[in-house]
Amino acid sequence: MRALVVDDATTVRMFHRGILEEAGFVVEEAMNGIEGLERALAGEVPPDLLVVDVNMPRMDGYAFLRAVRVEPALCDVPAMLISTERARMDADRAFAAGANLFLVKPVRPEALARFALFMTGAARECAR
Amino acid sequence: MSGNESRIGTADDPRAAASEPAPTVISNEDFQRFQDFFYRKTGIIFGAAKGYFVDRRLADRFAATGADSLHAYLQHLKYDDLSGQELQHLINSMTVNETYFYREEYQFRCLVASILPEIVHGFPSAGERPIRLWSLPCSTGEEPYSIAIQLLENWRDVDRYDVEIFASDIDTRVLAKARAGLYDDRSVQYLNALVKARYFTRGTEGSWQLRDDLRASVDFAPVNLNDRLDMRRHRGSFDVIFCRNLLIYFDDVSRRQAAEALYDALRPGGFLCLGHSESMSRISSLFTVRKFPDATVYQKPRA
Amino acid sequence: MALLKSRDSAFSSSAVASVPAPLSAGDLLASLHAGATEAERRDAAADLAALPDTACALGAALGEEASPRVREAIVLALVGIGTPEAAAAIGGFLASEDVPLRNAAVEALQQMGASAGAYVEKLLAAPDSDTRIFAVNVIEALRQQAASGWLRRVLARDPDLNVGLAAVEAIVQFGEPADVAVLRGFAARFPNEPFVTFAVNMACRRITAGGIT
Repeated sequence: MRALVVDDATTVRMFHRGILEEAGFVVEEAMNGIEGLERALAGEVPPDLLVVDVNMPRMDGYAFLRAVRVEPALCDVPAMLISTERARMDADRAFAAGANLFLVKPVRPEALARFALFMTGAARECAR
Repeated sequence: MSGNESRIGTADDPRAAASEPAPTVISNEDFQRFQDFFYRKTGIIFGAAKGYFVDRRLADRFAATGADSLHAYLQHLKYDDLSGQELQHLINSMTVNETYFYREEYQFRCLVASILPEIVHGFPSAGERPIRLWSLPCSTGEEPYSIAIQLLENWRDVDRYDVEIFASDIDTRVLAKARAGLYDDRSVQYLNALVKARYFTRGTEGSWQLRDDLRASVDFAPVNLNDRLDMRRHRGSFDVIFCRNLLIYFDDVSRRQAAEALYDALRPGGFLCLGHSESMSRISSLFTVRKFPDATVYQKPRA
Repeated sequence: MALLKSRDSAFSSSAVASVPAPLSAGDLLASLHAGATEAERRDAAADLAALPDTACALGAALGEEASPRVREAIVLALVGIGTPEAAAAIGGFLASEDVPLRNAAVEALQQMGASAGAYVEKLLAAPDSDTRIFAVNVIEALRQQAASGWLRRVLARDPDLNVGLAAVEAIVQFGEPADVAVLRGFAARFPNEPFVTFAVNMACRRITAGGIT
């Protein structure tokens, strides 16, 4: 399964990449919403998951999600939007833009991994 | 430095001719760091296979700037290279600059398969006005002539509509060469024999002369994309602009201004094609991303 | 073979198109506010870039302009002017609730150079943590040597970990071995945050690796 991480900070992209790869995802990166759209559209099949920062130059996370939700190839891809504490009050805006989930930065590895698996239908919770 | 040491890693290095690659210049961690830097600036990523390629060229740039480490080189770029010239040298050295017929041909496929159909679909009645295409920079003409050939060979509606092809460059010498339409083997190497026979006359010693009627179908004129007044003359004129592998060499602010100028030069709904490894993500938010089967291009909004 | 006509004499003519007489600042500003079309307002903004005294007025217009394309032209004009007044005019939007406008302000300050430095240094003491984050984002792009000192201060003292993390990101790009100590100090302030540990380790590796082998 493929995840697209969209964030302008290298440290964040690397961190999310490590967590998602460990959870079994193949990870692609983009630095802002425009590049995110280009990468998401570039493949033969769309990504299985979008992990998106809010504050990025040229096309922010909300604008990116709105663009994704009108793109026939991408509109149903699960998306989590990530931002800082104060922007937690913007959860309504996130959902209006088409996010399925809103997380506060910095993300904890277990939360990101569990939500990623859950949102892509890959969570396996049965106790042995 | 003695003569030998100063040539290490440069094109003059006698060891460059040896079959073994030169020793690694930078560590893996530094390669990552350089990758990030270059990716942020240009969107270009080098795979691990390009390690040697990057090494050699970085070694050249270190030698040229007197940097003894990647850190020193990045510091130089950040604090000393205020004109951006060294950054230009770096980008130049890391990108391939040759021009030839049908370079990045997937965009020419996109032109006839997707872009032109969409443009003519928006016409109120068939053939109402000429479709205007612009190649900028056109260099020695391979790009605009490739467009002309592509339309004649592969656009089934080429007889239904008038098409005007314009081509510009800041350098009047290359424009003169473009008008002359004389090319070498290397330039036409990706054209098949049929196309070559149809549009060129074979001269002596691997020279190919483009037919007069094709030469006459492209209108060449000097234009400086950075000159606002120059660009103002071409407002709202074009349906499609090819501006490939030029903006990558501009600094951040000039690139943004160039994007504005290109935006202004397009009709509403017009399309812009950048080079293979270029993206508006590093430049400007003015355009809409349009993904077609053959290529991803940019569009000026209609309204 | 179909003939392709291309006979626009205006294109190849070397005569310079007539340039309309320059409008006054007042006229341009009026056009910027009330111009009926986007193109008119964008032109007005582009022409105002040559008049540094209009920086404040450009900032005001930015706040009232709804079209993203006209906003882009106004922002470019302010970047071109590049004075401390222009930095302040655009810096005001770092606190805006309008996300694209806020991000455009960060980008503009990043491209503005020295004037932006003086402006954002003061913002490092802003009460709002998001504003301080944006200030650090701008500093990351600045070409001033003083910038490293500011980043170190943030790492040593800022109470909000996201502000510090923005500084770590800046150091990953351009830091030097001397930054390791203050990075470790920052990590020590937030021992239970996996991302802090990760980012600081990444920064330390990046800035200490290197030299020609």
